[in-house]
Amino acid sequence: MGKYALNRLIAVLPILFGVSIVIFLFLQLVPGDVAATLLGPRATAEKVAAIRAELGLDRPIHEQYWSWLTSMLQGDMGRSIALQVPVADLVLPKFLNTLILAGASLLIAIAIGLPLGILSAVRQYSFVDRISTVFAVIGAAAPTFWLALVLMYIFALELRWFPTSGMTSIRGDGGPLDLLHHLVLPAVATAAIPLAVITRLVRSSMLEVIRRDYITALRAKGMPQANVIYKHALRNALPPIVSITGLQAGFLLGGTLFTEVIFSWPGIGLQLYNAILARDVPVVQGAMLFIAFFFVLLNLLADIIVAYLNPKLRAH
Amino acid sequence: MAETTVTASQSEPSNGLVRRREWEAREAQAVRQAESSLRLFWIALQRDKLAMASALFLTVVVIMTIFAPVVAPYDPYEADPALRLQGFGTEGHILGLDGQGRDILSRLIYGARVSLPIALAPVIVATAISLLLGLIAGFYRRGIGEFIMRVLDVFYAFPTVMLAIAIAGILGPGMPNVMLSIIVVLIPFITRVVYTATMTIAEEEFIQAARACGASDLRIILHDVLPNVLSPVIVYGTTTMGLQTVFAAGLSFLGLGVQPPIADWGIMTAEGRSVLGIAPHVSAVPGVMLLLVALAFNLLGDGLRDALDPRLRQ
Repeated sequence: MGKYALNRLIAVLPILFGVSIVIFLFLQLVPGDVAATLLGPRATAEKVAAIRAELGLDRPIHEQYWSWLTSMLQGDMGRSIALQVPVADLVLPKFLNTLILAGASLLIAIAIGLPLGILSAVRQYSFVDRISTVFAVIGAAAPTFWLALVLMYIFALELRWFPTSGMTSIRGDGGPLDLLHHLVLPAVATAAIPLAVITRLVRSSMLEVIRRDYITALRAKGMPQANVIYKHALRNALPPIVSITGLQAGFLLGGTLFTEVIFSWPGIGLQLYNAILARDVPVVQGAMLFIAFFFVLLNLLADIIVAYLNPKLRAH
Repeated sequence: MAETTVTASQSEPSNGLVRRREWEAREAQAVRQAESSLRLFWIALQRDKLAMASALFLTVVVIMTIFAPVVAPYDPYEADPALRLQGFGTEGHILGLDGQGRDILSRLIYGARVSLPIALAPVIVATAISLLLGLIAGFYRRGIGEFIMRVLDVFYAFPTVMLAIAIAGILGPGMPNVMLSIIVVLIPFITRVVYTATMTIAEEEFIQAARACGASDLRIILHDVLPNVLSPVIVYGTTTMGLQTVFAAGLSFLGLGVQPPIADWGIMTAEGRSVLGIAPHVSAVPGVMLLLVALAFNLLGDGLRDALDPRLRQ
């Protein structure tokens, strides 16, 4: 098991190296004269020269990459061009806010998707199964930004149950209840797609297991239904569910960008969005690096859990 | 002597005729089989009512898009300030009017001219590139294949949506940049589909047979592998078209794609955002349209997958 985890960890290293190259190349995507474009039309010649020197744009590209990579590895993510603060100071707290939002969404998706998927599989073609399938099919197709607007209109503007934006109230105490109050709508909007995907996957994965002979044998022995389903069937249905949930957790990060922008949730998605609008490439690079590293680690974790759950994989 | 010559001269054409008839019969059978497998596919697809309804819906949308100037009741950019934000069922404006008094139905129809090609064209381009990469990688698994797949692995390390937004954002707004960003993020996914299919096919006996007959690699790839790889690719491409339509609209919604005042479903949704409290229909209509298009592509993709799979067909 430890060897498998170590092997997977080693396999991740070249990918992270590739990730750093892709993110570094973001700067090369800027159209025209990079330094001048980044600073905008009102920049003075001295400022353009200063930025060019700071980003090392006058040096050959491999030298630029090397100095960029070494400073990244030392924890120096550069400075924001627009805000003149270190990128790390900007990105890290925002990332924690995004984790709260993404974590809540994933919790909603699993807490509803897992039991609903199991129920759909156990009672295939029942009323519950049909309804949940319809919702899953629609949920998977619904644009997140539109769903966020629909939720905002119904629950914030019409019913006034929840606030329309922010993470805490200005006059509130900023405590956990206040946070929770702000969290509900963006979390539900972000959860829709992963919820749909997880429900469908749990259903199909469970259906496949339930049809196997050993389940029939257990039932024939007279084992109670709940025991058969939760102790024996679910365990074998779990590996694909865990790996897809790991992937969904990553896609959640993408989905949060839309909900963060719409609900003004001060997360890394909103930060990335503002940095893109301001052409603040060092912040875009820092945010993407953070997200990619987190995503890779998450999938690594999912792989290791899957291997732990599936002894057949563990042997390899 | 004379007899033998006669028999020889008689038997030769008759032998040739037999051989030709046999050959023709085999050809005809092959054509029948190809026809019948296409027909089986068609019968299976027709049985899938949701997929057929989706195909019909998408066809209607495409026809309306092509004939937008004829179908749309108004000019999508012509504003009637007196009727601003009027809701559903306003006289002459079934779907109401937006914040500037423009007819929402007309903008919806014209919007398809931007919202559909901006997503569908990149899917087609990415599929073509991925077919090339995936066939090469799956056929020559060591060396170049290994290299292609390892490079593409890097792109799996990013959440797709964020990578595309970052690329489109840095390149700057506009339709070509949105399309480019979608192509870049799609290639790794479609290539993996092609790669996996190619790998399975390349190990089949009929490929070995073709090789034993002296067929070149290029001939094997184009004549034997490619036709067998197409069906998973078509299924994936169809399903992802819906997702990409939503995503491209999302970029325009964020202001990173097509720019106002161009009629586009994403921009229409964004324009409705500022008047959400007083006129929710402005953003609801394009949102529902996006949902329906994405839904139709998903259901059609599911239907194609089932219909193309011989195991599920029977």
